[in-house]
Amino acid sequence: MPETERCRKCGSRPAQPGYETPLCRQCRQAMLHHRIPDGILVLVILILAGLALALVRLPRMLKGGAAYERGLTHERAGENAKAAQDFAAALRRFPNDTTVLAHLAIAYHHAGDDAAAQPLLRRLVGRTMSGELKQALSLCQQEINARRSAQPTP
Amino acid sequence: MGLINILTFPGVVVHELARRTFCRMARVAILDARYFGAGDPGGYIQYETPRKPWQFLMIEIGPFFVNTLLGAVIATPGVIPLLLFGIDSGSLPDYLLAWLGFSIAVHAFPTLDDAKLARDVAFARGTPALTQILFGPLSWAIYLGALGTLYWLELVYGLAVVILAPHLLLTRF
Repeated sequence: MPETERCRKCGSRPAQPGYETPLCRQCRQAMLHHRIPDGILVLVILILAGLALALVRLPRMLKGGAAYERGLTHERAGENAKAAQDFAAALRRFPNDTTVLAHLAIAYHHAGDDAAAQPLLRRLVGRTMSGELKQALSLCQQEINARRSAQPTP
Repeated sequence: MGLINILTFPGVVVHELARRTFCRMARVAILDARYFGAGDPGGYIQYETPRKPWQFLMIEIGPFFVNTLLGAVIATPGVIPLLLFGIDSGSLPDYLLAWLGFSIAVHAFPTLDDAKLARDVAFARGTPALTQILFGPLSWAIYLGALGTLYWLELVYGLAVVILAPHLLLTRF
């Protein structure tokens, strides 16, 4: 009668038939749960923290980003009131972003709401931005000043 | 590759942990494992020969999807402000998430030897037809991707994942 092959790990129990690697059921079960070193576990916790942070921020970023892109589309179409609405929604998600602030100020001004544009223009003073945006904002400010000086004084 | 492994170590860890998880799911014993090291490859899982081809293919191909999906999910909220408002407009969490997501996506592909073995198993004579249909084209695609890692394709792939995922989500939101 042929002797049953012994487990490669414990050497005492018979190996499970049908496998290329001779392991008994208990050892195979134990080897499914290969120990993860403590240092790696710390890394796993950090990666999970990153995942949690990403999941928390994801809806805000997606809503804000989509609103900003819709705002750009409306801006290009000359629908300034709609663009202002979308940029205002984007600003709620990116509260201090220079680009969003600038586009919102421009959209408010083009929609005829200078009262809403003015405080935003003041917030943008001294900030770094693209030459194109800077030029557009400076034009807005000039137009607002011109409108104001054209108004009759009481 | 050693330097890339060090700079993108979370991806190595995620890839090997994913492989470990697929071993457990397929009930395949793990003989030895290293989850991260500075050498090349950065990590490995040595497991017993699976009894069924689908077990082997799941263990080899599964981590590709885990790394890609996790990399995309983690990077997306970090990359959105950088894509929309410029690379210098992000906050510290944005840059951290972008780096973490990129690091994970970079390590989606298995090593070339593993990918070649997976492709061979997928088309081996003893492999059932259904397994060949399910895993065959996939194993070829992953083999070609792994071949591309000889020419730094993993970096291009990582960048593509972290840029395309937020872009696609924004256009569909």
